[in-house]
Amino acid sequence: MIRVLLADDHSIVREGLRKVLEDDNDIKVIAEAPDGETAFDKAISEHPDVAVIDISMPGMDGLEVATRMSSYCPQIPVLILTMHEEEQYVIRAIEAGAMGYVTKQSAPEQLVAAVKKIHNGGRYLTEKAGEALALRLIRGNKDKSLTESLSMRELQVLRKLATGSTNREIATSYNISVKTVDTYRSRLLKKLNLRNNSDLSRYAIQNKLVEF
Amino acid sequence: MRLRLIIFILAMFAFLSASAGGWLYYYSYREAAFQKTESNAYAKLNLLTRQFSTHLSEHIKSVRTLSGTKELIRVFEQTDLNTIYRANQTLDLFTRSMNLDVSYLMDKNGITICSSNRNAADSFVGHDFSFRPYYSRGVKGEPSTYLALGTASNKRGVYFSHPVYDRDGRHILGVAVIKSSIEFLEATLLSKSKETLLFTDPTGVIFMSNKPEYRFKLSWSLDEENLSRIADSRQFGNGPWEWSGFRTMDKKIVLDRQGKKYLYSALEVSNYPGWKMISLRDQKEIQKQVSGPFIQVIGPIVVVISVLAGMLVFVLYQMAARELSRRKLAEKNLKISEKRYRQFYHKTPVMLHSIDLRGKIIHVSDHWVEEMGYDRSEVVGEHLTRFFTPESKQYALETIFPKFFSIGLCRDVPYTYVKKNGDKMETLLSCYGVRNVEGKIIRSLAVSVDVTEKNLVQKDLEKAKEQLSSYSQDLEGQVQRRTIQLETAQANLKKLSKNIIASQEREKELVARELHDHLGQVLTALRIDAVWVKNYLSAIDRNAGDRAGKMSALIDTTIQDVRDMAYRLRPRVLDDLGLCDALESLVSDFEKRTNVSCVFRHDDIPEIDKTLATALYRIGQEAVTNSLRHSDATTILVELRTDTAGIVLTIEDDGCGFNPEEEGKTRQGFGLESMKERANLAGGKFEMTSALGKGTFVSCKIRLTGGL
Repeated sequence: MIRVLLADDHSIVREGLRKVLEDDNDIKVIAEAPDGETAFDKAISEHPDVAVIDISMPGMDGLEVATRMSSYCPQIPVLILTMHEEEQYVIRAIEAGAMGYVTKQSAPEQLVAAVKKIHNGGRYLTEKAGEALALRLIRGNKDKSLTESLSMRELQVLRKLATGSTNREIATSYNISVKTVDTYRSRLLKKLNLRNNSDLSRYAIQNKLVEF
Repeated sequence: MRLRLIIFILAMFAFLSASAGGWLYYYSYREAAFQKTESNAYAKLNLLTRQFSTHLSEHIKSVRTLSGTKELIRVFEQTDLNTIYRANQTLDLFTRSMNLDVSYLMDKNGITICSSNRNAADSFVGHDFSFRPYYSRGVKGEPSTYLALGTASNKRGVYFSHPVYDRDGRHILGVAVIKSSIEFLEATLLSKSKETLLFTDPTGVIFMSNKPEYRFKLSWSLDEENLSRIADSRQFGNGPWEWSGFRTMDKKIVLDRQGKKYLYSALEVSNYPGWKMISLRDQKEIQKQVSGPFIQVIGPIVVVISVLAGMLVFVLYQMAARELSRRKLAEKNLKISEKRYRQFYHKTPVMLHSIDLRGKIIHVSDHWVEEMGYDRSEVVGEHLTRFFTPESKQYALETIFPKFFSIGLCRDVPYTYVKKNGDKMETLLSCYGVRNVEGKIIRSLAVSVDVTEKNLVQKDLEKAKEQLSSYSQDLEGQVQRRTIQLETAQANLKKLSKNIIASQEREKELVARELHDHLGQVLTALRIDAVWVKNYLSAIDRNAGDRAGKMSALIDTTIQDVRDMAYRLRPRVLDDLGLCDALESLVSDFEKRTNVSCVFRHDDIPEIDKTLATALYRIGQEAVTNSLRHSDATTILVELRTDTAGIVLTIEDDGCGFNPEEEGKTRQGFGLESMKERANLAGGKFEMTSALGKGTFVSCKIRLTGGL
């Protein structure tokens, strides 16, 4: 049985999420909190197995809670819930010490799996979130001056191309046209002064833009 | 006129000096010529006398020889035909061989007993020549020479006599005589000369001459005694011996009968005491010889000099005349101008007066007396200060007069005159000192300008100026107040604008939050339920499940819409995560929607004020929107940097650019203005540069108080 602390300032949502969680027999919501302070207090007092915290709450927000928890009770893995789709939040959440990140919208499909995964000591990140994190790491590295001139999308396409994705696959994953992908590709070649996809792969590996 | 005369006299004087100089030169030149001819003449005379002396002594030895011949002695020892014949033969031989006129022998009584011309018509034989000096001396034992005209032959000649002694040489028996002609001498030695040559005896009888008319004339007039002595001597025939007409003027000059001048020089002939050779040279002739070439050479020069002198005189005269007429004109003009000046002085409508050194009025202009209401006679001779108020009088006497008479100038001295009718007149007096030749001030010339009216006007003007000044001060105060009001209004406006923007932002945030937190949460909850329902129904009723699925999908779309709406109103990320994340999100959102390469770079940005962050975010949003909308750029670079002063946001594209001056007004006008406004309100500095084909560059610098 996984004992879960659920914090969200919206009671309806909280109720919905509880239902989602408790639909799974392995999960039991042992505590609920309508704000950050309460969530932190309950985390300390109730010792849940997993804390599911909404990122946007009045007072102490979810990121703050995650930060505090990672220093006061680092044994409790935190899953951040959010309404936002922006990658910036994911990155912040991970930086704050959260082990997973799930949008509320996709909660019915992913929440249970996420809770279970982080309870088992793993990280739960969507593919998109993972990529954003990777890109942030790449960007954060000050040595890679060449990548500074590349836009996010260009970096994404570069990584995809480097890992052998076809133009069509890339187009599908970013919901753009094949033609646009091609445009990005030629722009990349030009910006990096390269000739073909294998050059791109080599470049990406050499500059640690992709992991294997 | 006098000048003309002086110039004329001077010219004449110059001319005369030149002439005198020329004449003196000529005179000395002539004198030199005279001296030269004189010395020439003496040289010639010297030569002549010597030759004469030689010729006239030629036969002294011959006669001695003759007298010693035994044939002649024998005649006296034994007088007979034979001895006479032999003696005559001897005489003939002598006469012939020596080319003599005649030679003869006289006895002790002077009777000719033998002669070479005994057979001629004029034979001497038997003639008594005892009157001849050569006989009387010869008989006394003295050989002698004698010049005379032959009494028988009537020919001039020189007689040589020598006594004839007996064989013992003790007793004189007779006298032998030789006569030689002098015609030849005259012809050869005298005739060639141009000058008149006279050979005279000691009394002045001309015995020989190259001018035949003078022969046997007297060179100087002689008295009767001398004349009779000449006649008695029978030396020169029977006369008459007329006076040639010569008379001495001085030592060197001799005049003839006609008054013609001759240069005279004479020399005695040796052996003939008292006999002289006289040379007379025509003075005119010499002068002609001298002046001929002189005039030839000097003449033209003199003429030229004279002409030049004449011309010079003429030119000088002309110049002088011109100068004279000019002076006359100037004098006339001066007179006119003086008259005019006088008229001007009197008639000009200005108060003019002149005072002497004592301060008494000498002249006043008509205007002066008119203005003052006096008659001229009442004024002239009066002290100027009599017409002043006491204050002005004191001022004049104590200050102005001493100053004026020392420097000779004063300007704009304020005096108050008192008119005859007692009215006062304020004036400004300027005057200067009229000086005499030595530079001493002799009187003044003063102008008084009536400034009574002007002073009144001045006072009014000052009053008006004062009023104006107070008005202007008032106005200035009003302007200041209005300026403050305006500034306040502007500040208020700014504040208002700031407030409007702030409240706008607040409103947006509120709406966005409402959308996001309320509607979004509700929809999320709905979706959870919808998914649950779908999952639940799918097992029971596939159709209902599908419917629930559709519902869920619809809710998904709606959530997305709501999220987009909220994002556009105000992205939560700006409030939640700050400017950097917000801009990053914005840029990647733009990129996703447009496929334009949008790059965001940033430094580590400190946490900044929300309003400031909002302003920068909105500026970035607007700039990137503009670029995407208008520029056709392929790359947009957004940078957020910190520098020493604060934060700099730049947005740069490689698009088509635009001409800011034209485009600013129309297409991008509003966006640009709102960016500026935001930057301004945030206390930042907004800049935008662009040119056609060169892309666009936007920057906003915000100074952070207290730095970073």
